[in-house]
Amino acid sequence: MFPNNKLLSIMRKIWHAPAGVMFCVLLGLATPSLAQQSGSADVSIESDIARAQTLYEGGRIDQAMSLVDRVLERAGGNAEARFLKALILAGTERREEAIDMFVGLTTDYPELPEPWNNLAVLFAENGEFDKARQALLAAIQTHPSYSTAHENLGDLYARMASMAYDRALEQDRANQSARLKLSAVNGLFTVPTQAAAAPAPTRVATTSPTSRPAPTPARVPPSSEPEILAPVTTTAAVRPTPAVPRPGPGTVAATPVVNENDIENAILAWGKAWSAQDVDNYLGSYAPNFRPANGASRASWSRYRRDRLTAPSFIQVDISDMSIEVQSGVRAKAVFTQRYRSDNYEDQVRKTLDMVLVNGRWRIATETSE
Amino acid sequence: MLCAFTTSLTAALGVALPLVPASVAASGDAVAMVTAPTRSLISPAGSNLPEDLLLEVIDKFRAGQTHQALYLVDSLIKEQPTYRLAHLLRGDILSAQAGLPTVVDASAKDTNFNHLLAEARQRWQGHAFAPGDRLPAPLLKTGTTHPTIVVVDLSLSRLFLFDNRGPRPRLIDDYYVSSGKNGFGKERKGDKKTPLGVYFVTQRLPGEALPDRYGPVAFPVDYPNDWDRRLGRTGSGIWVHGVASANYSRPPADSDGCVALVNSELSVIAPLIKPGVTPVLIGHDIAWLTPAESDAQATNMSQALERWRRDWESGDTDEYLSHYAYDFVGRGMDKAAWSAYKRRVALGKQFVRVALNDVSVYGHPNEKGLVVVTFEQRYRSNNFNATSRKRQYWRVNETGRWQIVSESAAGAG
Repeated sequence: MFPNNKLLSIMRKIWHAPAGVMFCVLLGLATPSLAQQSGSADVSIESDIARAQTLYEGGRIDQAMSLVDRVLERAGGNAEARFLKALILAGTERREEAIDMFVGLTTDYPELPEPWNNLAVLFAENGEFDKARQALLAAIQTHPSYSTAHENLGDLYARMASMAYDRALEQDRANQSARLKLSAVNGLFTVPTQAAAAPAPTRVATTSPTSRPAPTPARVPPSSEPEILAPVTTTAAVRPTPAVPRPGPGTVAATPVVNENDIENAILAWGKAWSAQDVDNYLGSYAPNFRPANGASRASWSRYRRDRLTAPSFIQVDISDMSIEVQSGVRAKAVFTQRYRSDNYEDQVRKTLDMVLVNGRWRIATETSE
Repeated sequence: MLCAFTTSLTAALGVALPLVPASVAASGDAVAMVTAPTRSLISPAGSNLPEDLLLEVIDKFRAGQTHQALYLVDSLIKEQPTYRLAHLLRGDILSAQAGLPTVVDASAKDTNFNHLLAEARQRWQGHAFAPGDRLPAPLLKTGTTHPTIVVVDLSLSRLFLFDNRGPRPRLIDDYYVSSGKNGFGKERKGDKKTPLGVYFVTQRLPGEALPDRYGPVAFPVDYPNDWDRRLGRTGSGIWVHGVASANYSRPPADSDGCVALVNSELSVIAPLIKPGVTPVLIGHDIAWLTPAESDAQATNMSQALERWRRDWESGDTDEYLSHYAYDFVGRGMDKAAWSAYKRRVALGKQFVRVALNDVSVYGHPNEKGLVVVTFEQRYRSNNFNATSRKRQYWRVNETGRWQIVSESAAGAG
């Protein structure tokens, strides 16, 4: 269910080193009670959770579970312990209990996106797409730049759209399961620090699209349309999400002017994420409808890329000689020289990326090299 | 292929786009149909009706209010789970949310997809149509015996329902309808066209007695009528009916000539439709006139009818017969036989009194200078009295004179 993959090693970096700091920062923003509880630096609890996490990652599920249960006996409200337990439950097919635990976490810590995201994963696997959508929108509301939730939401919308079209056109795709596999996160605080510290998303609305510096890979760049990230706050039932830019009825007239720098910056950010072995931001550079060239499924491609990014001890990607051809307000083609080096491999190719503007951000729709 | 919204809705609803010619439907069943969802012009509950909701979704979507659009389309689908157009719209909205181009299969686009676009376009146009106080030009004189009048405009894919119990017909509501795969102007059996003309409902067929595809009830009309037969038109089985339970509605050009409405809407109007009574005027591009324009059109015809009545009473048979066109056909007689018969009868008359009651005059929606007159005729004379219902077709001849071209007994209507 939640694949025990290389993601965890990245998680652990965050987990061990800056986690304490982050935790305080986050909880300072959030609930004082938890801040007191965890801020008191109960070393034994922290280390037990770390051990349980290690056990879990090592596949020693029963031991991980009993250790986590012992932690919870001592500190029943500990968010990390609860999150880990929910992960273990989900991984052992105790899905309903896992859902209950994630729901509890979203209730107690509505400002944390990871429980919302994982709740959405479980709902999607149950085929409960509307609930999954609500959960992802909640995740994004807490952290508008949370790329995993954006990606999941994109996949979810794509599936829901496909099902709606099938119903409209009376097509029966018997082989299309009503379930959907989304990306789970295996730890709290997987959202990049600066995003966590960022104020409300409406801030973007005041940013000038032209004078803006290059977007950091860690966050969704502001769109060229000012109100794009302004949340909808009119109804409680519909959780806000960034509005999606789309060509209006008069497509041509409504097309915003394309700033080629935005496209170039997006590609450089992609290369930077790759070099930094920052899987989330690397994968987040791809559009929801990106289709791997070899015909692989998006999910298996993502898993493969995770492995490729995290296996080497270092990666260095250099991009040069770029030319960009803007094809429309939402499409462009970029060609450049890509030099890849890692501890065990090295090559240089001429790469072509078809870029598409999604949610105000230029992302990769197809990737080919020669 | 840029965006689903562009692909389907803008294409479907672009005001500047010409109407797509009625495409040949893939599914070949049923007789000939008009399917209609309802938009209420008057009903305060109008905003809750499926078509209103659908169009509101489109409005919101076009305005970029994607969340509201999705919320509304979800509630519409909850209410009408088989509304395929609503599902298509939902697909577009979700695709836009995901920043995706349309995911409709290209192979699906030829038939079902185009049908749904056509439906969206027709509903959109029908919704935009606002007649104000104008009335369809064919309603020249609606009399007192037709409490409900049905007018179908095939170019709008719309059925208009009139309450005729007051001094003037009042538009109660209008509904989306499906009609013939091959358009309108039925000429022969199997041409899959919807006839144009002034028809009357002949029967009520309960749904239990019919295949599912006809919906909850069906109302055959009297195609081919006197005029159709005179022109050698063939075929039969033109009904106003519902749709199969598996679909909320059908594409605009989908029937074998019938007029098909959405089942829930057919059920609403069904109690108002009386076999043998209710007129169903079927036309395309029907003109709508102000009350003054309408009255001016009616006066001319009414005067001709009155002169015919007086000339009959006067005993001047030549004058009387001059009201009949050279190609008149009535009660099995042509003009010569009719003239001989009338002259023979006139010989025995010392006096004749004719009163016309409950006169209704409906113009043929698409044949200029042709009207259908129905009345109750009270005939009194020295040797014969009778009360009967008659139906005549009157036509303007080349000199501008109204003349009778056919006459027959009418049913209750």
